[in-house]
Amino acid sequence: MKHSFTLRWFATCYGVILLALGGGTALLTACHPDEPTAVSELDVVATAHDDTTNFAGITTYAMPDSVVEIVPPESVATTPPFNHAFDRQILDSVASKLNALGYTRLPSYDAANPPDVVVTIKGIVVRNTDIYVSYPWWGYWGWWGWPCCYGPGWGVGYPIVTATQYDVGTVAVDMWDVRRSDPVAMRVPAVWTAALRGLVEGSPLDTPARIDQAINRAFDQSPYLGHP
Amino acid sequence: MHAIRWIMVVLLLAPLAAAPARAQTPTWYSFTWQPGVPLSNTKEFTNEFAWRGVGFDIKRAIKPNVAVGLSLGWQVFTQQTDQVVSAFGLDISGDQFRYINSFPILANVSYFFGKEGGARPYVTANVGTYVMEHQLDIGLYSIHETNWHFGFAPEVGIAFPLRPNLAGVLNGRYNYALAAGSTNDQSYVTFGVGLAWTHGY
Repeated sequence: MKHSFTLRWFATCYGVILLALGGGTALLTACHPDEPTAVSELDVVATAHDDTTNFAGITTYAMPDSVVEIVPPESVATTPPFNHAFDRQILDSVASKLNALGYTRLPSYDAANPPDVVVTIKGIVVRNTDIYVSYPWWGYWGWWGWPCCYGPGWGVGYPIVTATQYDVGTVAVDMWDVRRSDPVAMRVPAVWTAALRGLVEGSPLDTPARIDQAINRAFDQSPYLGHP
Repeated sequence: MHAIRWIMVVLLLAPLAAAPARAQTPTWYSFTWQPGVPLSNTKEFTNEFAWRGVGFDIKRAIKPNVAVGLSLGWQVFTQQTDQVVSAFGLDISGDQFRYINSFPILANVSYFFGKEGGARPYVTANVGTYVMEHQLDIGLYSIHETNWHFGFAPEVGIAFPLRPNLAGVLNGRYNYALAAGSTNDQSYVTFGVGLAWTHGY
């Protein structure tokens, strides 16, 4: 059948090309497009609080002027050191947020005139190692020889072992209600906690912004901390 | 479970309707780009317009103007958000990457208006299953769940001839999938544009 070049024919070809491009794009971007492209996009903040606590009744707090490094006893040898270069920023930022919410910071802990709560900040780094073993399929050409032959086909290749290692850092901010401390059991209830968690990767230049964003998120998602 | 068995029977039998038993039987193969708009619960999870979507249809006439067929598709709904999620007594925030991958596998009956060789508006009743994967990535964590939903999809469309045995296709389909597993009912609308290889339509 003879076909002349017409607008309809051109439109048909154009449509086929568009469909091929669209389908190809959809396949190439696969099931989960728009995945994280920056380390900061993997930062997570989790907060929890005691529902029975009236935070409006808390007026004063004390906070040690340091970030305490926590090392899990089971991994003393492998735990990377916590980077204290950003301690000042973390401490000042948390204190600034609490002060803005109406809490008054006491200069130190005085047992004779204790604060309502004590706020502590801890840092921990955990090294994670993941090992994957895969058996890729490989193709082979046919072989002719005694007693006969075999054709081209596919077989299981040698295993490929892939290991990835990454460090995850967590800054934990805890608020302890010393008014309800139990000296006999030596327990002080925690009424609010925030865990700021992220990969210890990426440029150090980005770290201050990541810390600020995490602390902002911790307080933004804890509106009950505010004083009316 | 009865519904799923019934769907499987339909799905297994549907391709037989498209088998080349007789050369004269009008047959239709179409491939469409199908962007989608999420609705209701689907929109709550991923509220962005889905540009990624494709569909493939086979139809075979059983009566003048009436065809049965099989419809396969794939829609990808996504959303990136930093809204707070509350679960297990925790409030969790961070950049969330949400995805719904929907794979409809539908048997259908179509009624075509118009005459062979001309523009053919049509209506289609689809019924079958939607394989839907919901995934939420936050931080280093990923939560995902895949369910087979029973669903149906009324559809309207039009095929207009471009060349002998080749037609352009425009269609709109409302997809509704019933609740399955811990996933609520899902719904979305797709708008298809593509080509159909038609023999006898």
